Amino acid sequence: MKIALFIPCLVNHFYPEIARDTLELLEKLGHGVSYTQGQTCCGQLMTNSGCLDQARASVEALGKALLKEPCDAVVAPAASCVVAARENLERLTSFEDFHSLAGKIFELTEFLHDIAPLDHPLKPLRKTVSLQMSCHGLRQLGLGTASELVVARPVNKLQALLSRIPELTITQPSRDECCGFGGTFSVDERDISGKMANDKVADHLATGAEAIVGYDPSCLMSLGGVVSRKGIPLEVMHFSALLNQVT
Amino acid sequence: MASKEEFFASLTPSSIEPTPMPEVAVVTLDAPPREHFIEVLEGVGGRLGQGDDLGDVKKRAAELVSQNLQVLSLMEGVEGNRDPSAVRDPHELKDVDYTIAPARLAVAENGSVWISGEDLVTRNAVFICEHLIAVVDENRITGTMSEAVRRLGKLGGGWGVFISGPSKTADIEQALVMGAHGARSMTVYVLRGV
Amino acid sequence: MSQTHARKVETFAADEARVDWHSAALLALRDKRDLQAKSLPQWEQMRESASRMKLYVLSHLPELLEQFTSNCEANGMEVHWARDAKEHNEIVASILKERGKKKLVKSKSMLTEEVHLVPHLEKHGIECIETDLGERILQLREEPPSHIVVPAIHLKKEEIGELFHEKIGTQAGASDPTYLTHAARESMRQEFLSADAAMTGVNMAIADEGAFVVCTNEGNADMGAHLPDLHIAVMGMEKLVPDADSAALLMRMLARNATGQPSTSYNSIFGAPRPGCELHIVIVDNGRSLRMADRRHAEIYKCIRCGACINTCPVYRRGGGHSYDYFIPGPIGLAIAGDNPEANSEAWACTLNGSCNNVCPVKVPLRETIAYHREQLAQQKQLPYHKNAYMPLAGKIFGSPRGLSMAMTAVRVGLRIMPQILQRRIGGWSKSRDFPKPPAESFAHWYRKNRGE
Repeated sequence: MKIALFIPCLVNHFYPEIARDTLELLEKLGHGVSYTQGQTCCGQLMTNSGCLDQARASVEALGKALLKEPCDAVVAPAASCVVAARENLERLTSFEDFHSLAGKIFELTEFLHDIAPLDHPLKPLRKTVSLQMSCHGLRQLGLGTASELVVARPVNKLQALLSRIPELTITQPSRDECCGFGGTFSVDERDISGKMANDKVADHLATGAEAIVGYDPSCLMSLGGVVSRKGIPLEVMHFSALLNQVT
Repeated sequence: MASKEEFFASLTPSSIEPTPMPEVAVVTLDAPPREHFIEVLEGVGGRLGQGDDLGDVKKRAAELVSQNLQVLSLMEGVEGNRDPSAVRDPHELKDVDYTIAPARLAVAENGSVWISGEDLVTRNAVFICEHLIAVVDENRITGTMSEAVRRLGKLGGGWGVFISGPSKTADIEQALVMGAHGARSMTVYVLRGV
Repeated sequence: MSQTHARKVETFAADEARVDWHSAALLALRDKRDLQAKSLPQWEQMRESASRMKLYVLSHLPELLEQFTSNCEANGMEVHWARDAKEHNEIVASILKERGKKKLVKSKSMLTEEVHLVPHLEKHGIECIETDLGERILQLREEPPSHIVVPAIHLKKEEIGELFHEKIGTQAGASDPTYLTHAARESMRQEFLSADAAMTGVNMAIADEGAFVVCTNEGNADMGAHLPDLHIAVMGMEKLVPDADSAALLMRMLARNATGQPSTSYNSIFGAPRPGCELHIVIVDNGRSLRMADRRHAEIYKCIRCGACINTCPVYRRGGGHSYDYFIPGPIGLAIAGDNPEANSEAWACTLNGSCNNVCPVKVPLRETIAYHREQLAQQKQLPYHKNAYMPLAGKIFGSPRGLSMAMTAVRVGLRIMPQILQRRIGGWSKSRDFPKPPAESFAHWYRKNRGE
């Protein structure tokens, strides 16, 4: 498929390796991948605080940048940014092309699971990882079945993808509770947010895993911040790094 | 103070689009009701009475009376030592140790029994007692609350209560304690049907 | 404007052991709820039916209120109408005063908290006794509830032991919950026997029967209502359900979702007064219809007050129920009153994680309603946490690819050269987390260099 990368601002500036892993992975899987300059923020920083008007310029600039290169799908390695980009392109702009663009933006997990299913043979990797099922991906994108729901056959798309890696051991924390990031919540509500992040790291650590692996870089940044502050022996990584390594 | 007309006139029209009433399914249970009822009853802190014949209830009532306990029986054919027909005011029942009352229905999914006010001399008879004994016919056990409510028929015009186990609370550190304000224990005799 | 939520949680959050204890107690309720929900394979269909049934009610309120009223009256009850809190309190006070009543026993009712009934009645010389154990504890402590179902969840048994020693004469130092509960039973029994009026809330008002359901575990509503000759039941008008099938559906879900019990111990269905006694129902609007006129706010009135959203809320569990301005804490409280500019940080006491939506038995869109309040407050320029000042600036910077790139590069460079010891002094984030180690170049830069345009 012809894929346009949407690299959210946080990834672009703080986690460029996630963008490179995503790019290389998609190329190895045989897709044509392009990246257009001039991408801004999905607007989440502003819309999460209710500031819809303040987000419009950013969302329009993002839409314009993504429309520069024709593609079959837009793929981004960040679940909450995908949720916000889709929603904001729909509700904050009136340009028809932006609305149809919103319909073809996919988060990397859902792209590899639902849109162009991963069927490549993967190299073995001996490692124990604990899955960070962040809330926007879990409850808004349906990357997994949230623990509150009564469903006969629960799904976990991240687990389904990673379980294709031979010798990889996959664990999960005891709860799929929020890690406490929540955008500006992490700054405004520092006590609660910090406590939630600490609790989440402890829950991951208790699984005996060597690494926390997830699909949402902002949550990973928060958990990584605790791991670094406390000197906890856990790697914190985006799942594209794992998949790129074994593809 | 507003009249009904003033109240209605002050209502802002609801913004919710007129939604049709959905079909509310009457769910039934697959498990055999008697066994299921007993299992759940014990789970909610209730006890199963020993024996499945009215004679067993009579025997129990006689035992309690012989222990000098105050026993109010509202169950036909079971003798206590308080005269139900003499009760004029519910406050008189404050020293009752045991109330024995007929239940018109039982519900397997939550271990409850339905006691109708029509079968009580006064509604408080099943709350003010220290211990409650309910008696139900096994053919009157339904699977779920929705089935039970269907079988009750009309609710307006009377009063009744589904009781699921003894009175309980967990308001102090979530520690479950039986006997908050109502009966400290609840025993249900399930009689073999005829 | 009141203190921010972040400020109000500071004292509670400072005692981490207590936060963990509080959180674990509520998670235990969530876990029991999960077990009960999962025991019913049709659970999700039940949620959908319950949600649609409540939408039916909310879109047909006047008809259903009429029907409920005429049926109640036919059943011998008297129905009263209160447009607001003041009218409600006056109605209740006059019913009591006209009959010379002096002592009211009441069971738990969120409505009476909402309208501040008890202080009003006390002004009229009527003694009010809360009979739910948790509510009674708080009444004796002169403190508001911290949860709508388990109102004293924030208190330790030792604190209750001390209180009871002082107020009802339990042994000094005693803190065994069974001992304390039974001591309260004895003390409250005297109150029940000496009361001359009773008040209960209403869990479901069945329109086509003219009957209402009251659910308790302790039996306090019934113990109160069936002794004196006067029973006043008060209800918000959203408590209506069309029929007994609908009430049964909610009875199947309420306790399961609230505390993980298959049912409350008592589901009492009142369809008539006791012979020779009076039963009054007070139906209250108090802002409900106004809120329901706004479609994005309206669905909060589907709520059946199970409290499950509160139990699952990670912010509530770590901040405690007294950190909120509105008397109902947690997601449903934020959804009802998060648009109040006086408590303008409240709508931000939420990570929008959405767990509350998923546990809600009637599918109240809690997350979306809270997000909506943020939008409204943003429009009114009533933003907390300095957002009025920095959001327009952020909007400008993020709206320009060049501006964003320059700003992010500046932050990156700043973090690269700033010693960590200084970084730890920057604002909220770094109180418990390090900043990431920023890379030398952005992806956009790398791409331009390595892949060309």
